[in-house]
Amino acid sequence: MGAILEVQGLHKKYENSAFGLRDVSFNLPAGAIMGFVGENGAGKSTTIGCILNTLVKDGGMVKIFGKEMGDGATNIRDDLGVVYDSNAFPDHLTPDKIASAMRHMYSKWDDTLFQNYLQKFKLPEKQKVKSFSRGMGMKLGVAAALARRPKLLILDEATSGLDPIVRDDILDVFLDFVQDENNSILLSSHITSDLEKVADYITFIHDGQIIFSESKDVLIYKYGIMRCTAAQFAEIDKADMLAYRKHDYQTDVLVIDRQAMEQKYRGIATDNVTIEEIMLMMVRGRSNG
Amino acid sequence: MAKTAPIRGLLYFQFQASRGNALPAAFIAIAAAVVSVITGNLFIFNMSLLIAMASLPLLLVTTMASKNGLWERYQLSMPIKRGDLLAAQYITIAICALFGWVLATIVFAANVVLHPEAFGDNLFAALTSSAHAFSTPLWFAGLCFPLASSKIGKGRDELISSMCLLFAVGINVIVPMLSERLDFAPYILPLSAFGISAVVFIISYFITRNLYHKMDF
Repeated sequence: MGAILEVQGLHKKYENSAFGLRDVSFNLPAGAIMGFVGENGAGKSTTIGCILNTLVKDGGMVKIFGKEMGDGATNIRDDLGVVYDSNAFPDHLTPDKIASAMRHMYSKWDDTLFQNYLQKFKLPEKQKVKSFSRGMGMKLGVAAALARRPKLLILDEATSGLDPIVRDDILDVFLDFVQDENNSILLSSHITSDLEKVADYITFIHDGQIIFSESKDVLIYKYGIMRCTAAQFAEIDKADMLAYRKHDYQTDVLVIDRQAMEQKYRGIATDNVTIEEIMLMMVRGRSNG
Repeated sequence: MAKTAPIRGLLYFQFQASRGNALPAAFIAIAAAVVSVITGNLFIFNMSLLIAMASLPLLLVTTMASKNGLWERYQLSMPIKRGDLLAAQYITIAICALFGWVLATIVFAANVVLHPEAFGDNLFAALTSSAHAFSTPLWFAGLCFPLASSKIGKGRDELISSMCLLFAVGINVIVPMLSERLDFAPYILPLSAFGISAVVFIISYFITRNLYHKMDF
């Protein structure tokens, strides 16, 4: 399966700030949903800004559909759907006016599909977006993104701040979208439960660096957490530890190959791990290095 | 696959998005025009038009730049180039300027016809005043856009747009006063200011376009 989005060695610095992207690289295959996770300020939006060229990158390469993304790449953007973390449309616009403008912008804009999504999401066609709730605004963003019939959806914290029912509705729409194996989604979020539900791949960014980019199944079924006493912890080979976190009476150790570790350290209880636990261990815990 | 017209789409977005804010300013100018034609009083019209012409681009700019630039960022994710986005903004300002100029010209022409005793011998000087209506949005945008897009303007959008608004109005108040003091023909300085504003506006577009290519949104 070819990569629909390739990010290689991305660098971005900000003036008067120590934060920056450092050598960010990952690939999103066609037909897949990639969860892009990290705590607030980790670099998710900066990475997406560099991918979309709304931020000028200092180095590296972004390829979408095999072509380099840049200011002149309007053909690539014709196949992109983007949804931000809040309603991006100016307050005085209404959904029908948005459709009127989008018709001029996108070669594959589909009015019928847009109407269908408005009905599905119960959005009033002639109401100004300033009177929309946050959930309605996000649904409008999703409808406007999908009605242009994109091949790649990029969602920057689009499900954050929504109630679980609205989130569930939107996640179902995303799952429908990737039924077409040519379509892909890059879904930035810190709500790991959403990603566990829909994502095929998880890319984790921390402090401007990619910590891992891995299949979700590998993370959930292969990774594990060993629950150790102080004595057991002392016996564990440091090379087997990805990260560890000490609690009052126990030390949790994140390991890459749970089954192998169960064989190697027979007396130590080893549990499955959630994406949230992996994130916490990688950020809050200490690495073996 | 349908053929696209991105600038048209951007202009439609811009017009629809700012309509709610900009219409009251346009309405003030039109109402003042009607009052002026009925009463033959140009002072009220001149002042109202000046304020309206300065407010229109300000309202357009502030409407479009709302929500911490998220709308601009969103537009840049569409199949347009950065230069297209800027061109749409400059075209909108030019349309504002044309609106003011046409309105002012109609009002002066109507006043000359309806009140020949007051305006019959002063037509050319009156028409130069309509140049102010044209030049005010040009001065505003010509200064505001490159400044707001430069390093100096980072995070100072409101301050810069206020300063440019003051300048755009101020220059159109000061120039006629200077004309009187320097004993020039009444239309020389206003027409020069009009010409210079047009040149500044055009140069400003190219400077801002260059800045836009290096800008983070």
